[in-house]
Amino acid sequence: MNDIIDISETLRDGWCIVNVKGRVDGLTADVLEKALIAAATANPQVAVDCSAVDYISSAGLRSLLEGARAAQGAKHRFVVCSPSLRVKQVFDISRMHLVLPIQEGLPC
Amino acid sequence: MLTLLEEVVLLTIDPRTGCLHGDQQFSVPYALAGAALFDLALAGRVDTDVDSIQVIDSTPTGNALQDELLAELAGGGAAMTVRGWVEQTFRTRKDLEDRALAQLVDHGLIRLEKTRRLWVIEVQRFPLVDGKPLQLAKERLAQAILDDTIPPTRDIMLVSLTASCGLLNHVLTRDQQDARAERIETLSTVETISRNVSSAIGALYEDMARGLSGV
Repeated sequence: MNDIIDISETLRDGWCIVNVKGRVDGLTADVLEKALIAAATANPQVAVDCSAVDYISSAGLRSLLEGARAAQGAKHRFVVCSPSLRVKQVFDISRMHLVLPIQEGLPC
Repeated sequence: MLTLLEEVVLLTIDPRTGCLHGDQQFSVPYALAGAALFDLALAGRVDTDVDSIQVIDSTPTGNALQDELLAELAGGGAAMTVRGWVEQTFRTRKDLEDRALAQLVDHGLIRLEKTRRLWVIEVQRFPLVDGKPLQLAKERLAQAILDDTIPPTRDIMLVSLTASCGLLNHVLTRDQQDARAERIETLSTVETISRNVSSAIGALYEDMARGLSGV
């Protein structure tokens, strides 16, 4: 954890839930990217809970894409879940749903 | 590794003649501005949200051109919206292409040849010395577009820049581009910088069309 982002993992029903809280921007995206790549490589199913993310920048979007790429390379599932309203607006503008799976709630 | 700016400029060179593709002379400068901003983002110096630029680290990168642009941004001498910066850079930095070509000469990838047409007009050509980086860039572009997998960040950026200024015409056939138009559009929309480069080019062509029609 650093002072503007908090990342934790929970294992539940065969899923690794990556809980992200705070800002995902150029100062924190590297930390998230490393966490997502590690989770996506080690677990067959990864869900990124973005319900507590209050800001995401272009660097933050790239960290999600790199996590999804790692899962893809390992033939694992990767889904971004429950984006907060502000994050959903950014996803909509970027049309991220066309590049990676995004869903309203957690898978379990 | 080449910068994105260098890669885009490399893609403007016709490998058969060494001449610069002249068919997109108005839109390429916008793509070069976008490439320069992407380079600063990849170097971890700037970040963008849906429309603005933030300098997150003003430490020099070691690349002279990038450091000039970074100093302008950090010093408040540059527009801080992505669209404003792209427009401003298009107007004020006519040297981006020449500087990138000089860097490619320094890297030993191209050489500068000056000839005269009709004994008077100086013509510059840039024959390839090493054709592999250009070929690799084209292969990465083709793979990013023709595959359905998520491309590396850098390749998404390269697709979006080359699509916005018409350079994809020198990589894929018209039929290939038409068949994958949705994919190209998707990859071009993900990044804030690309969206703004595309809208700036669109506005330029609208202005030119208005000027031609006298409206």
